[in-house]
Amino acid sequence: MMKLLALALLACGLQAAEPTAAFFDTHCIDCHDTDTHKGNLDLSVLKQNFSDAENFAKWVKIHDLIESGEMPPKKKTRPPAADVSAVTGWLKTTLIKAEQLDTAGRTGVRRLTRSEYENTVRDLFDLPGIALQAGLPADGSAHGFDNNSDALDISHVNLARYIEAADKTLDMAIATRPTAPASEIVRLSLARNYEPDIMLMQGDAILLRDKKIDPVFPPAGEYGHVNQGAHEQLGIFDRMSSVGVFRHEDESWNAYFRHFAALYPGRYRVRASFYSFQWDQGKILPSRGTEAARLSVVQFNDNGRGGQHPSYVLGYYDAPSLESKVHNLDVWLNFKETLGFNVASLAPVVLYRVGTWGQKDRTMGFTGPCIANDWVEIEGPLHDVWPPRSHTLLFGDLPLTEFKGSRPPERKLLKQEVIGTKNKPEPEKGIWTVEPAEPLVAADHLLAQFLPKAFRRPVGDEVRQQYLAQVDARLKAGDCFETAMRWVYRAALCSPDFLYHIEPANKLDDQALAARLSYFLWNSAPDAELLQHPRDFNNQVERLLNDPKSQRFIDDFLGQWLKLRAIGANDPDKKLYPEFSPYLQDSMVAETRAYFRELIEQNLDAGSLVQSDFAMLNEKLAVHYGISGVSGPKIRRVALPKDCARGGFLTQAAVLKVTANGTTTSPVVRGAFVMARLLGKPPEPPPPNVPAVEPDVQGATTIRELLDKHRADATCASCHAKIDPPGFAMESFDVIGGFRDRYRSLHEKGDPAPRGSIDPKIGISFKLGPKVDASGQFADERKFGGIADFKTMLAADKHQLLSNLAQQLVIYATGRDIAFSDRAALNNIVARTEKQGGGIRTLLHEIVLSPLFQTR
Amino acid sequence: MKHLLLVLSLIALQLQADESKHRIIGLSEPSREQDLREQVKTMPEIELAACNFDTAEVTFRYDPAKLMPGYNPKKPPAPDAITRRLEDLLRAASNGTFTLVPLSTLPADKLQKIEIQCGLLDCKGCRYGAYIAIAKLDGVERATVNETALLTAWIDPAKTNREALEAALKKGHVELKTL
Repeated sequence: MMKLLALALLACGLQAAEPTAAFFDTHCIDCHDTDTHKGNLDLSVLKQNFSDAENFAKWVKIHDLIESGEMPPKKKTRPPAADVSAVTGWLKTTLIKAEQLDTAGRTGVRRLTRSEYENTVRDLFDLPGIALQAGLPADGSAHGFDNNSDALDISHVNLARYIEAADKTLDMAIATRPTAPASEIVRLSLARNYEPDIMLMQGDAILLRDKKIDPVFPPAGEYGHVNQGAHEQLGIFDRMSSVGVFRHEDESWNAYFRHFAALYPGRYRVRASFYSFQWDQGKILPSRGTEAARLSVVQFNDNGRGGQHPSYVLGYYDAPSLESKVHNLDVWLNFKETLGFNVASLAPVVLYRVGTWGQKDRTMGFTGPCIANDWVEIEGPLHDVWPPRSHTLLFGDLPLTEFKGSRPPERKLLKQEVIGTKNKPEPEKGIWTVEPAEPLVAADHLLAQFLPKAFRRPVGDEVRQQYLAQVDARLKAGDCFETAMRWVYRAALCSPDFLYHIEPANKLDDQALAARLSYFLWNSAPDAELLQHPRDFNNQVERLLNDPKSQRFIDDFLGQWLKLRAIGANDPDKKLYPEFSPYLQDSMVAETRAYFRELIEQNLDAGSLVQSDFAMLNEKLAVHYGISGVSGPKIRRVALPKDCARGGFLTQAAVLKVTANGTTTSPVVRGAFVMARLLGKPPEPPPPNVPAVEPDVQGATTIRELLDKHRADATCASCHAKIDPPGFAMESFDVIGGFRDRYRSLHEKGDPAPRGSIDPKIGISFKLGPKVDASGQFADERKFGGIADFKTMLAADKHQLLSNLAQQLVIYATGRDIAFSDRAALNNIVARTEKQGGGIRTLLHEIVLSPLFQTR
Repeated sequence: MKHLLLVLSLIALQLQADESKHRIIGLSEPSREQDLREQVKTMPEIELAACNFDTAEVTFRYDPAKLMPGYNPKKPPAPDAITRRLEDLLRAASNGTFTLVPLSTLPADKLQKIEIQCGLLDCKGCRYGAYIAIAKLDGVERATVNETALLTAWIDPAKTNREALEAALKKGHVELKTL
């Protein structure tokens, strides 16, 4: 109430001396009166009520338009500079004063995002693969990011899911046996592990021994193999033969090792051996190069009869020509998870034949590349200590003893639920738990250890006593010690102290600062080192960035800033873009992430955001981009040839894909993306009742022609003059980021399309339509001839690019939008960064050092 | 002296051992006889006394005390119990690819030989798959298959015929060729 009163008094006081009225009368009111109200702005009724957020925003916009010189428009008489300065100066002072009346800090109370929640639990309990995100409701988004206080609401649904997540965590964390489950090595063959009826019997794969055809199982030819069961009974698939696979996964078929399903969640060591070759109707020849085999983690549904669903891709691995390469991986597997396999770099061919459908003469009639898997070995679960650290976090060094009481802790009998798997659980004898002689003393000690770690700050005695009272109550109700402790641990994991970022008003204290730093650069809670020395900023930022956990920052930030999370939002039209594949899509994302990491590691300047002489590529992307000399699936730094259109985010396939639908590109969408995400000038939303420009999906008419009609309307023209030019420049790239000088078309009158770099096994049915015109003109009338010109012009304004990146990073790091009064501090970050060379790593340091970061 | 002891031991073993003769399903081709021998070697309870591929007959030798769990010499097990036990052991060792059935009661000259030319059966698994599609049919007394995909069956004409065999093969997705 007091704040509102103060704001009202401020408004009244300022109104008497303000210089805007005369300025508006002279320069603005003609277009912005009640009758005309261009841009939906009527200055005659606009109140100086700055406590109203909508009104405040309008005044900020007025300030910005006058200051930038955009208003009054160029065709009108220019106001004297002194008048402009007086008005903008007065507005700036007034707006800042109005904002500063809000002294409670501007980052609102905010809970952890799904991603932060999962990472926090993973790090706190040392359970680096526990999967919790999918069980929590999706987060909203505000000002471009989901960690923004304006987006993070909470409901009973969240709370119900937090309870489930806490239970899942505690189930996994608490040791229920006196010794670790024995680690086993299981060697798996594809031959016996997924759908051999389709894969081997009908020709989509072959058995191999010593890089030759396995004589016991000749490849399918004119006739397929008959009676899969008979082959299985004779043990033909149990001989650990290598399996050469021709068929790429598709909607109806994918490959996974179904004889193993993890029982004990934990760390496993995976070894996998791959090679590739060229198959020529029965002959095994050297392959065209190093092929890419994909391994993924998949989870069985129910008992496995219903198949499985993919969890995540582990990676893409070299399969060299006729030379087995063994890959070593450390992975985390959850209950009922196994590994999946795909011949990632091969074109989608099907050798399977039924009747007249499929490959004639099956394998023996086929010529093409093949990837062989010799075997996959899974070793684990691996425990370097027992009980595991997750258990020690909860129960310290209390010994595990066999429970003899009457109300044992809850135990779920571990059993192998997946039919057909070979690995079985070890028999468990008795119920093992912790039973201290003095339960309350032990509980107090354990809570004193646990709560500060979970809450990321010291916890007062009174809070601990509240939890302890709950333990006491549960014990008196007859619960055993573990059950009673579990009760309060679950409560702690569902409490605001755990779920929310607790930040004091104004200056952050040490704990809040440590948390803000770690959630910024690790997407997770601070470690002990950071909590101990949170103000050793330079060293801590370096330490955090050099830690593998900083990849979470890169993934999370880029996922939102450059919309990489939406990479799979649509599937490109198969007729127009038959060369698209999941491998290409994963490579796209990997490129953009690796590029951003390279910018940070090399401390490159903001010009590199849009232009560079290198790219981060693997073979798949290099071929897609028309760059030779890159082999295999590993992403690495590649120098770009002169005159190459690539380099920088704008020409990366991931960015080009997320700014397109699966069929067509739109300069409007791409232009708006560039303005909002790279230039920090988000366009106004389209006015109501203006129909969208519908692209010609047949490809007969270009989007530029359609937009020209749209821009003929004066109400549309002013905005589109700013939005469209970046989009026009990006028209040189199709929906999957391929370079084009003509549009692909399904129109029958199109010209035949050359194959280019498209795999010879992929059929082409699209035609070539109209030519691409990637030229354009900025709103300030500077012209560009195409994407290269455009990027050069954009890169020349490093200050703008750096300012925008700084703004995006500050919004992400602080969980709030940039306020009007933050602008000076933001400008200071940029100025200090520029003074040190303008590097992006420097920018991260300067953000952390700024009052914006260190103040709530 | 050693030789004498060995001979005496063998005689003693012979005296304790029993034999049981059966018709066997699973000998689809000559190499399967070797499979059978190897699988029987994994079973300490029995030995293969004889195997006749041409008649698909086998004789097992065993010590009933070792073969039958809970064996009581005062109450010897019934012959069908012995057979069931032998079947169980053989099925487990061979992953179900060998099955014992009663000896044929039909004289050899009453059997009708039928030959069916199949499409390519160039792998042992496929040949076994084609064989097993007919070998268990009622009326099929014996069958074989060779590497040229020629399937030969000796049948009781009162119980089955070529059409039934061909239908069974087609049901098992075995391609047939006209001779």
